[in-house]
Amino acid sequence: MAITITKSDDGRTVTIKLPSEFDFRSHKDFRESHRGADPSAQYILDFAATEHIDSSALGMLLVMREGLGNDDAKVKIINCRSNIKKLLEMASFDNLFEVA
Amino acid sequence: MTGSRLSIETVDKVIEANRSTQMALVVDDDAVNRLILEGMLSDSGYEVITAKNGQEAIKQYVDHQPDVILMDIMMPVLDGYQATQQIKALAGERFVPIIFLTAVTDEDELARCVKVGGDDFLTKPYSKIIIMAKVEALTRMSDLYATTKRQRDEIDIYNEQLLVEQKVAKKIYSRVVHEGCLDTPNLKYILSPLSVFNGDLLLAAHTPSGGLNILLGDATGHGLPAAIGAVPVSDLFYELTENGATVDEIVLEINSKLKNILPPEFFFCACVCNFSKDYRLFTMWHGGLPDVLIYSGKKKKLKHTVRSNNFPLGVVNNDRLKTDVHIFDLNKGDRVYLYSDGITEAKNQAREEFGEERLLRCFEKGNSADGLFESILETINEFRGDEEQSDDLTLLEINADPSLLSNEIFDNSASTATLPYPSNWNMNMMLTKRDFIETNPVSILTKFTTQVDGLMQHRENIFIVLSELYNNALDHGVLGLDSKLKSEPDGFLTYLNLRQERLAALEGGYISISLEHKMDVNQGELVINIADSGSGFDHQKQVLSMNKSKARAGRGVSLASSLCKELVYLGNGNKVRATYQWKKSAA
Repeated sequence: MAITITKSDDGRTVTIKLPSEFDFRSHKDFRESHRGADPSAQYILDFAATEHIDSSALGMLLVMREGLGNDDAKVKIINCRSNIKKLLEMASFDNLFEVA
Repeated sequence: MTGSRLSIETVDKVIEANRSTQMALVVDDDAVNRLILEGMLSDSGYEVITAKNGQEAIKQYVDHQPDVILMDIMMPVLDGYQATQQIKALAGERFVPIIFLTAVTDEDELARCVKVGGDDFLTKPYSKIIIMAKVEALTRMSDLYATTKRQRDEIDIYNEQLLVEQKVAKKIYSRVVHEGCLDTPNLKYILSPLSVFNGDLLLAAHTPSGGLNILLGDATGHGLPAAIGAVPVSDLFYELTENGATVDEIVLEINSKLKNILPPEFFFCACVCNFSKDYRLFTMWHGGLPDVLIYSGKKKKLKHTVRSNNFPLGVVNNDRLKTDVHIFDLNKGDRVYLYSDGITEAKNQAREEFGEERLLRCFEKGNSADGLFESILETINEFRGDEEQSDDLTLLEINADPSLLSNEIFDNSASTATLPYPSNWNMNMMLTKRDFIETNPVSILTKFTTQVDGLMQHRENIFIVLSELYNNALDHGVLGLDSKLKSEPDGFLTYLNLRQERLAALEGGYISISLEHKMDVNQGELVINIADSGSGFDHQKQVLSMNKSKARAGRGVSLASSLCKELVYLGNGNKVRATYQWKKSAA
């Protein structure tokens, strides 16, 4: 399943829906999903369909965050399964991203 | 590499570009037939050569290497079948399309044409359209074949070069990223490389005081990028360990290096830990690896699972990295297990993951700790069956049993010569809110103190004593946190969060630290006094229950106490004095 992107009507909120396996194979699509993105917008990464992630997914999240201005980036992670949430917490990523 | 992306369009272009130079060989003993075919082919732009029989055809083939051959069957001297067989043999890997010219439609004969190596056949009388269509189709195929073959050869050469390069690189790599002292008898480990290079990194080295430092790292990705990242990690780990650096110092140095050199998507999940020489103390920092497991050899069950709550190395700058270490006391024969996610993510034929639960079950059988490592591996292998491995598989067991070790493992004489150092001195330090947040006084004081000649070998112990006493003063004294919180489920995280909140909201509050050092010919003594602005606690009661590890100050203080000649709480419990004593080693 591919990555889908939806924008709110005012364009201030961008929702990126991630695939069931979010790993190195998603690299290109994921990068495209936020290439040249507006750093002031709110980004929502929707993990609802995602069953597995690997460490390169964590790497991709970091690249995205850097592209959006590091600490200024507004990236929210939603609908994580418990295994993924645990992985994010193990790497302390809940301190870099808002994990809902 | 040109032509690496092969498509029909590019093949067509190649044919078009080469059309003028395509050469056809017409083989027929009948001069009229030769003339007809020659005419048709040259009209279509082919250069044409001819032969009157099979023998001549072979000679023409050898001399001119035509692109396509039209071959009559019945000819004097050597017939078409035999000529075809010989030409195909001579051509070897080169693809030369041969079209048989035949007047008959006998199926057996046609089958024989293909059997000897013919690629197609044409029945007389000839139609120009069909002949040209077949010739063109076959030359196109032959071009495609040639392109594919050239590419295959290029890939072969490239692969061979790559293998040679990898072999050399591997040699260099394994010299830098060597295994240190992983052959120490109380360690068991498995490291299975997925490719020539390994995404997992396992390092071990003895500290100047005879303890053991271990680093297990798992780089994002595999292969070359992961291997390149491993080089500075290994370098720093061995250098810092040799210099007696503490766990938190190693973590900070490696983190800052990786943050500087790695692109943002690369980082190292890692566990850096230290075992004291007697294996009674286990100090660890944990960033992003799966839970570290501690198995009680006596009770035959897991006594701690330690979850990471830090960033992996190379993700954030040092000022955001927490370097709080976990300190555990071990009993003789306890086992500590470190592993990478390759273990829990090992898959069986149904693509199910081995998972944490299955791993934990291995520890629940109440078996003796002796065969545990082997039985875990066996369980994983059974689960995996013949399924191919998709990640690096790394598991390490440390047996907290110093009796397995020879006493010669470290060399005192290697300790570096230092400048003469004042033997009697004292220093005082007053810390307030900003210092609590922005500095790490424990590291600074450990570093400072252990410059003393002979004290370097006690660096880990002094670090633990300072660390425990300072953290107690800050957490329980200044911030008023209750360590009971930590023993509740999920309590540890609640505790850390609460700590952060209270620290941010803190007004006033101080910790004063004074160190007093005395040394004579044979021995030295370091007295650590720490006082905090907190309300103290009933230290009389604390002393009584210290060994039960339930008291306010908890396990940490009893650890520190076990390392000191004396550790006493004074005043209303907000002051503590620890006396650390050591003998000078015979120089």
